[in-house]
Amino acid sequence: MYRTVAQLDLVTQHLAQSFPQHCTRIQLPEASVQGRPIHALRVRAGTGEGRRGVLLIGGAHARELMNPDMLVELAVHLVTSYRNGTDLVLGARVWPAQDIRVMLETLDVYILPCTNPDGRHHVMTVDDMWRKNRRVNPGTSCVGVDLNRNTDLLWGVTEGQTSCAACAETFVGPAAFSEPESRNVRHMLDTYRIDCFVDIHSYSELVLYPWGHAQTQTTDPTKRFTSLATGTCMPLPDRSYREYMTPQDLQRFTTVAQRIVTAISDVRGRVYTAQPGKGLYGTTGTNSDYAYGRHIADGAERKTYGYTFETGPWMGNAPDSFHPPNPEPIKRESESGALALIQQCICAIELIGTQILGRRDEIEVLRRVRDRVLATTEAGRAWIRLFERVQGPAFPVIAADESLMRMAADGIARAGQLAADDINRLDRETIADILRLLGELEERAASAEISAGAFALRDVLEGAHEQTVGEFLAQLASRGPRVAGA
Amino acid sequence: MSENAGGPVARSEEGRPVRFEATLHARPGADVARVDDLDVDRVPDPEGGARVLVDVTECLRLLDAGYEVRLQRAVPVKPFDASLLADDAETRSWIEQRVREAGGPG
Repeated sequence: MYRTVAQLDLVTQHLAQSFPQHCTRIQLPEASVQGRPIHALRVRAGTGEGRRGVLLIGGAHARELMNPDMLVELAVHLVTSYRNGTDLVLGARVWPAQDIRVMLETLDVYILPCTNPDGRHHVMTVDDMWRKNRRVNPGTSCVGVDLNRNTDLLWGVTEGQTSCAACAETFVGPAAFSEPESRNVRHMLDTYRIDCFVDIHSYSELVLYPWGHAQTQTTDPTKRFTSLATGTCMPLPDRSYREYMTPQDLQRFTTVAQRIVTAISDVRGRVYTAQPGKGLYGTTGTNSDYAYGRHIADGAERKTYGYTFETGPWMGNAPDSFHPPNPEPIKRESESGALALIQQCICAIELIGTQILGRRDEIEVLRRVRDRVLATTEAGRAWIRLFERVQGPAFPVIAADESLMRMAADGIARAGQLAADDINRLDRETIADILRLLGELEERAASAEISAGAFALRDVLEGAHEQTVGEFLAQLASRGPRVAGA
Repeated sequence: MSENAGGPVARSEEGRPVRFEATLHARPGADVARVDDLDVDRVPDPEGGARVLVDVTECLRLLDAGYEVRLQRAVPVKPFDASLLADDAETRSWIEQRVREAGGPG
């Protein structure tokens, strides 16, 4: 079943009224073109400010009807799982109650289910294949701006599926952020701490990450979208142009996208494809590329990892693919994908360091080591990948046990102090503490990922006594983690 | 496809304007990869080809541009199937039930 705009609103309203400690409805500053108020919902539990945040939005393209429904259902499921301590079961994929608890107690989850209420209403009442918002375009008989082409990430560069023609389905609008609905998304990114973002569309079973306007490359940092002309109403003039992304960001995008794909396929076996947006077709001004590109356009902005999902398979014809008669299994898949993104947004080290220890300096040191040493080589990036894989299953186990939390916190503090200077030496006591934590984790978690991580870390730590930090990091940067049995 | 771009309009038996889901194929001199330049409503194609939703005017434009246009089906302009829509009472009862299950006010 599908819900009307009013029914979607009713669900978020009810949640906020019933569980004000978990759900806050946020009225966005601008109503839609036709005057409909637009709301987001913040879902969280526990206390603490300055948390990392995830923003999930849907419904930008009106005819892609499933996604706003899925997003309000996700909010309901999060609250129900948290309050009852029950697992969230999505087909064959079970999200343990403990994982949901950690998500809600460590992150702020913002959900903007229906960015384009006028378009959705038009689909329900006039034309079930309507895509854009309901802006009247002056001087034409055509209506609507494409809300996923209206941001100022290369706005008005008509690469691929992007147009300056007011009658086109991919009309970019008269200016970047000309539409109130787009400005609301920008408002969310401007106002709240958003580290991870997804804009959910249909169809094609894809998980997309930047870039949409050009192929991605990691070798020439001079190729940045910020140096390209915008508003040209022409495609990029240089057909060989490739947009730069740092190797560590590309790795992060691909690693997380793969985890999202796995979480989706766990539900009922549908395997989505993870790829850069350009692989689908060329685009500019999209929400997810804008979310990610903000920190490049303005160094003062926070980095937000932006994704787009294209949910659901080809159903034999376009209308049924945009809004299948039975959307339920597809919604559960994309919900699982959204949960994977939320989970991947937790940074265990930052969380333990800043919220448990109240120490920012050590975390900054560790972040520098990650970005300036490990991320610069393939072997080093393999260590980062390993850590990102392990932290997902490890953190709920740590968070559930005060003694483990203390061991982890002490370990992070010690690692941060050691890493502050390359000439510091790794001492036996620190190594023994880390090995003890790994042993405890392996014993309690029964997770293949944790075991693989513990094996690789033991392998390097056991021979590291009295190495300097510089020597140890050089070793990590030159030799990736060893795999058991290899 | 825009709702009121002008030009000839095909209609269903019920009198609704009709557009067409179509696939595009290259003829000599027409590059399918350039279809994006024609500002038609392109939708994902399962084979990675060019699939579009077009009205009669757009269809003629594609033919003029040298494409072979294979109409797959008529897609009338009509509201979303009401039988797939939740009604207000159903939605209210669903969310109230979920709230009760989560220990909220009944």
